[in-house]
Amino acid sequence: MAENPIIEVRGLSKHFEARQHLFRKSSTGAGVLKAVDDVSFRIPKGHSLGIAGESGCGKTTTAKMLLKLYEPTSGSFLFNGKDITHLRAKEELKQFRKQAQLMFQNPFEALNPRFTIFRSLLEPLIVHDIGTKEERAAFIKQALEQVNLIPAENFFEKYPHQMSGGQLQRVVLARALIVDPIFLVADEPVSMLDVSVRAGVLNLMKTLTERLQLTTVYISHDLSLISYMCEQTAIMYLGKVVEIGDTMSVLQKPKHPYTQALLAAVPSPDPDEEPEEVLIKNHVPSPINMPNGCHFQDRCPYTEAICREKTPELRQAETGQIVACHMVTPFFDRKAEREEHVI
Amino acid sequence: MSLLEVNDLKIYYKTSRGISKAVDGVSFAVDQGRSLGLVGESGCGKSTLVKGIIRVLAGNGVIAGGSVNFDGNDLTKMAESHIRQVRWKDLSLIPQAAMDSLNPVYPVIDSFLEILMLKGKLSRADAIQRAQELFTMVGLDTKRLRYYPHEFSGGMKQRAMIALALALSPKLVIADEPVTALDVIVQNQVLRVLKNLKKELGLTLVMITHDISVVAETCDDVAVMYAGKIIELGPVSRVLKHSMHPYTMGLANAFPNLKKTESTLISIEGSPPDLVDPPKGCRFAARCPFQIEACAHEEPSLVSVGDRHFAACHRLDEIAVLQAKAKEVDTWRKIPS
Ligand SMILES: Nc1ncnc2c1ncn2[C@@H]1O[C@H](COP(=O)(O)OP(=O)(O)OP(=O)(O)O)[C@@H](O)[C@H]1O
Ligand SMILES: Nc1ncnc2c1ncn2[C@@H]1O[C@H](COP(=O)(O)OP(=O)(O)O)[C@@H](O)[C@H]1O
Ligand code: SF4
Ligand code: SF4
Ligand SMILES: [Mg+2]
Ligand SMILES: [Mg+2]
Repeated sequence: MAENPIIEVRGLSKHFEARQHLFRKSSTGAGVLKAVDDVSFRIPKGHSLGIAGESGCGKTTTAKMLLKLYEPTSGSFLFNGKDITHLRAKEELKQFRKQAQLMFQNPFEALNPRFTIFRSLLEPLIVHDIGTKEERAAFIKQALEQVNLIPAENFFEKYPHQMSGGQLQRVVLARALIVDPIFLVADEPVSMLDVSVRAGVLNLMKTLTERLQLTTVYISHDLSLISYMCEQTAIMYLGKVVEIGDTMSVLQKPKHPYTQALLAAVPSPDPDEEPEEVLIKNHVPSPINMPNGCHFQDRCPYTEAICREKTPELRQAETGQIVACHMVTPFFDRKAEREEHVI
Repeated sequence: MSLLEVNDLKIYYKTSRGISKAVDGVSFAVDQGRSLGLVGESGCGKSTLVKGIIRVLAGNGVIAGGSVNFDGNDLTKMAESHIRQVRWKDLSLIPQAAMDSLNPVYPVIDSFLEILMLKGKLSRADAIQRAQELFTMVGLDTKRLRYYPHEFSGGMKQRAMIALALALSPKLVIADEPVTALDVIVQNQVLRVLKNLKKELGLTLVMITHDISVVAETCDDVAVMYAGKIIELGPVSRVLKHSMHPYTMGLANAFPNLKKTESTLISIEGSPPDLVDPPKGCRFAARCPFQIEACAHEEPSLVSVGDRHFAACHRLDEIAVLQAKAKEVDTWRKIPS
């Protein structure tokens, strides 16, 4: 990659001390919960990375580290070429908080219900000391127009409860963009919205992030959303990235048995299509005190002895993406083999 | 005859701003052993409709007209004492956010024993055995009956709720958003449980969802609701692949599809009308790219458009043109209102 990535993380981990009192079965006392474990990736300027995986797999924890809301337990975080893993200086941190913005999942919680829209958008300008009084009003108008809330003046004095979910999510986006960030994290940006308006918000985000050359991370459990929005896709399972690469490769030619299962489970909008068989069993095991070897061993249809002994390393598959599975080599993958047997 | 037949059902809420016509003249039928999906955006009346059917409406809600014929009886006219015997035994509702409705201070088995012993009049021993059977049926380990709800994951709770709804072998199960908020793999498991029960027990199913893919994969028929009305109804493959109503066409455009990565998503601009003061003509008119003069004054009625397929639109005779136009992004650009 020629250009410096905006985001580069190497071996990023976040471990929590697990309290276990709620679980009657436990006896061993406190354990370690590896919410995120040894995660590495880079996102070039203007690109977007989608992070998918089941609830609790560590998506939000990763995002929080990317926004420096969590200090990583280990690993490093380079932002725009600079190592900011241990950045603490107040001024620099403030500068980072301006450049890196978060878009919340629930627009109704993201905005103060007692603030008018104007006031909500003014807030970040004050915090980051941007513009004079007159300039600020102009910025706010511009920001609302940018997200297609036109005429902007009509929305200045409105309160959140007077607006629809789709409109509010546009305000939330406008508020993130008003400070001119270079990096945006959107955690389930449309999951609270109605289907008929989701597409509008997604298209808007797509156009704006392209036009502004924003580097973005989308977190969603909806793979079709990620396939629509992101150039790169990372699939997480119990704190680890198990497959990462170009969205086209990861979602059209998945190699990791977990990615394959996730994709098979997505219902198709075509009623005549036969549902694919989901081969995995059980549910996500507890992330506390994981066994040796592959985290997916107890659910995987292809587990062998080596999977219980050694943690699989990330390796490149012939389709381009990087996969952590002992059974995936450039010349071989289990799903293809199985399908051949079926035929 | 159909197991469930809803005729011109009207359900209104009294609000401080006036009467809200949440369900306003809805008719459909579900035959024994079939499954109907009920789709539509938030607030269109789906939950109200099913709560009305089994008569568990909020205090300010009333059935303002119509009938609900279930297994030969009109539920709207039934005495409360009588309908209480029908619920659970003949039809059960898995309410929206059912996951949180298991009593948190008791082990899950207590919820089962309550229904099985009090309503089903089973002995304690039989009830325990039946509870175990039900857990096995939905793929849960019977050991977990002794667990508390907080020790269950979302998908496990949802499966427990399905098992509970099936406790007294009802003929009809109504599930309100049974898989919303579940991860895809768990969603897939829950849907598979429902599909198997339908196949093996001949269960009749009404399922609310806002996800047309879920309907496509699980249901035989689908009813599309908009602002208190059904605007299209029919077999899933007809309604989703040969949509006759502009709103249904719009919904199909708005869904990202993993298999069609190149196509652009198109949203339906605007929002549904106020149900306290709905427009006179077609309720979709303000957002419809195909509205004509008549749409503003005259309400289109649900008419047959083919084999068991119904739609409510004034422009059904030009359908081929509309279907072609609906696929274009420009068609759905902001409509002058
Ligand atoms: N108790 C109530 N009092 C007044 N209005 C109500 C009440 N419950 C629902 N409504 C209104 O009735 C309409 C239909 O509500 P309902 O809950 O049936 O919609 P829904 O399709 O289930 O939506 P969602 O997908 O958000 O659950 C909405 O306009 C709603 O605001
Ligand atoms: N502050 C915290 N303290 C302890 N455990 C946490 C904390 N935040 C998250 N976790 C745990 O870390 C794991 C990953 O959480 P999260 O990143 O929120 O998952 P996701 O966003 O994918 O649902 C979960 O097991 C969660 O319970
Ligand atoms: S390493 Fe083994 S257990 Fe893990 S995903 Fe690959 S085959 Fe399955
Ligand atoms: S009746 Fe008119 S406004 Fe309503 S859906 Fe048909 S064309 Fe559109
Ligand atoms: Mg999360
Ligand atoms: Mg509802």
